[in-house]
Amino acid sequence: MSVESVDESKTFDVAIAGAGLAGALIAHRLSRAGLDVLLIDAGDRPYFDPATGEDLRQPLLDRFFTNPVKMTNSAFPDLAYAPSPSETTLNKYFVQKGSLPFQSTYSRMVGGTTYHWLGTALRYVPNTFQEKTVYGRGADWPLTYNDLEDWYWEAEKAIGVAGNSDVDLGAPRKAGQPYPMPEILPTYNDQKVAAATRGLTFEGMPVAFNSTPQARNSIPYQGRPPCAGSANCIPICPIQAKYDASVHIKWAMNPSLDEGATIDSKAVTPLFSAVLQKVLVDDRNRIIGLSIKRPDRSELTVSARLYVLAMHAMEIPKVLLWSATETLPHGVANSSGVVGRYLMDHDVKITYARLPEPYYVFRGPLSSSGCESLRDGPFRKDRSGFRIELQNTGTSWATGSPFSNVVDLVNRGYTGKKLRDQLAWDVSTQIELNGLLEPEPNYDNCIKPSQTLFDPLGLPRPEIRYSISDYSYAGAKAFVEAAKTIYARLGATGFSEVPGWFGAGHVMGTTRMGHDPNTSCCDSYGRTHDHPNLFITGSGLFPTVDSANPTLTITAVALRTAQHIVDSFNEAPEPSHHQ
Amino acid sequence: MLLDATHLPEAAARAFFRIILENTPTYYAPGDRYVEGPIDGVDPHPFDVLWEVFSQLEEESTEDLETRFNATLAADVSLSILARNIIIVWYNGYLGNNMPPAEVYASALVWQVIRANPPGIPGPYYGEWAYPPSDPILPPGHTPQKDQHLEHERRKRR
Repeated sequence: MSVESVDESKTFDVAIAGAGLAGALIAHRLSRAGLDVLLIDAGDRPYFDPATGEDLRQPLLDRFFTNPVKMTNSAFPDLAYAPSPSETTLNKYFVQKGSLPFQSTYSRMVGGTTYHWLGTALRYVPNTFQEKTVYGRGADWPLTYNDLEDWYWEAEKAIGVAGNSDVDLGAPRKAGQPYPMPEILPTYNDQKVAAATRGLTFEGMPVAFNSTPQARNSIPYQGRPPCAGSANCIPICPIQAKYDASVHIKWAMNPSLDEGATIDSKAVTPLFSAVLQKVLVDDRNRIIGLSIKRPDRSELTVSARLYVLAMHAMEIPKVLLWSATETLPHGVANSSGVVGRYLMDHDVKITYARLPEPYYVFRGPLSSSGCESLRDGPFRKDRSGFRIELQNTGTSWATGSPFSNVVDLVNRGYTGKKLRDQLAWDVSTQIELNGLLEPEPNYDNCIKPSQTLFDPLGLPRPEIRYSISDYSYAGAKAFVEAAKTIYARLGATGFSEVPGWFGAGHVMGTTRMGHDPNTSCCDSYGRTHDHPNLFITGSGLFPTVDSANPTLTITAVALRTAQHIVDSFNEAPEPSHHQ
Repeated sequence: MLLDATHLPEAAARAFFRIILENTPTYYAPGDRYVEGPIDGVDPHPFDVLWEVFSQLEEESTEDLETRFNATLAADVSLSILARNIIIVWYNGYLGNNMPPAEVYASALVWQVIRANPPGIPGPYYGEWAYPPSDPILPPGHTPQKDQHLEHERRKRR
């Protein structure tokens, strides 16, 4: 379990704030290399037994079963001292100042948002890394796809991605670097849609539905079972067929559970129920400590030779800005002024329709197929790309199916067999296609620590200004047209577009990487330009994105960063990108 | 009968019954409007009235019991709400914000009806989703065709 406290006079090798995906991966890699690591998280407990590795998620499932609202965080405790945003109480934590509310959530707990993520594990396409050069949009990464290609494969092995290596989804794969697991068997729904859309094109591009590469076991992997079709990826997989970061936290806390542990492996020191409030800097711009606050409002300062911030793209900039001092009036690591800026999400447009026959719903993962073939192309000069996510859960997001269907039919006087038959038909003939729109990074979309509204620990709530660009609006129009052609192929009727936008849960851009310290916060490893012993991780690093979910890229970048940190401790020359 | 189901699990029945009772509309009783709830021992409880109505109709052995029952209920604001709540709580497994204990989550009828796994309950097995369910869902009102081949075989054997 967590240690109660930490000796404030001790200097660890590395202190990692945040035990989510990036923090867990880096903690694990550093612990394997024998470094003395402190792993800090706001969460109060791990949901596994560190001594035996036994998974202990039943309390999370019970919370989900008894929660009247079945949204992303419905399985997870909302810690009073470290509130998480939620769809139902967005304004309890987020302070929304923009023209549109920012709708995405995350979970502040040991293991982070990977507990509730869908599991989609796509690579960004090569043009995205040079979107400015190629399309005149966004910004170039200080990395090319080639630099990251081997790390993408390491990422796929680290979190266990199931996919079909022979299918081109726009991001090239090297021969000899297959997905670690075969693709998840497509659902009946997937197969019907793929068959019906064969040969379909949109604006001259193929509309191709394929099995989505996903961090979901199709065979036993990492001691976890294959997917059994529990239909609950979001908010929580009951059997851990879907990867969550507890896999790596477990191994980092107890190397005897890690088959890949080496003789050097050194267990990390976990410090939970610990909220990072400030990053402390000396007059030579070196980070000298992390000021931590506990639920009882006591404080302590921990120190290390090197620091890694892994608390999520919303909390990291909040803390960096809140850590401003007289000598650093713009905040830590923010001489560029970009910290907290260029906040992005994948804005989601929901459409749905009625099929002429059942494709059956709530079977298999929440989504196991999608269209990746409309994400990239010359059109990105003028409008955003999008990916299309085919839902296996009917119109649950669009209309609250199946519960809303029950209430509707009962209120219309259906009972008995008539009710049963109509309900079965109405729900099983639902189809929902969601468009994830590529955002355009906008300096004015930002997060800052509120100066007036604070959480129960006295720390500032995130104040967010958010809007959606014309670039994405234009992309959404195209998505709706594409969706209509797909529905037409399926013989579907009753086309509906849900008004407004939804969040995909992808918080990106707020601590962008780049070559130039005047316009970026850190380099391609996440090492901040201003403070050589401070690293940042996560999707906040991404200067621009395409419409793919960010998690696999977070993983690849984090693994590359971990190697860089290990190498810097070994004083090795700059490593090649092969591990 | 209203649920078109038999052998309903008892634990679920208890949990759902509790929710129904806590949510029984009591502002209106048959024929009258009450500003406060019914007085115990004096005013009839809507649930008892519902049962009486049903028993009465069943005794009369009317052919289409369900239709007559629904028609009787439709005329009564309080009883129709009560009946709807019963159906909704059995199908959805909850009513409004009233949640039963976790153990009865999977008893909600809606999942069986749509041939689905209750989300969060460990699913059947890997790949079960690749084929339509063994008992397909037909359009409402559709009577399944008799299996012509089986009929022929049966006739041959006579």
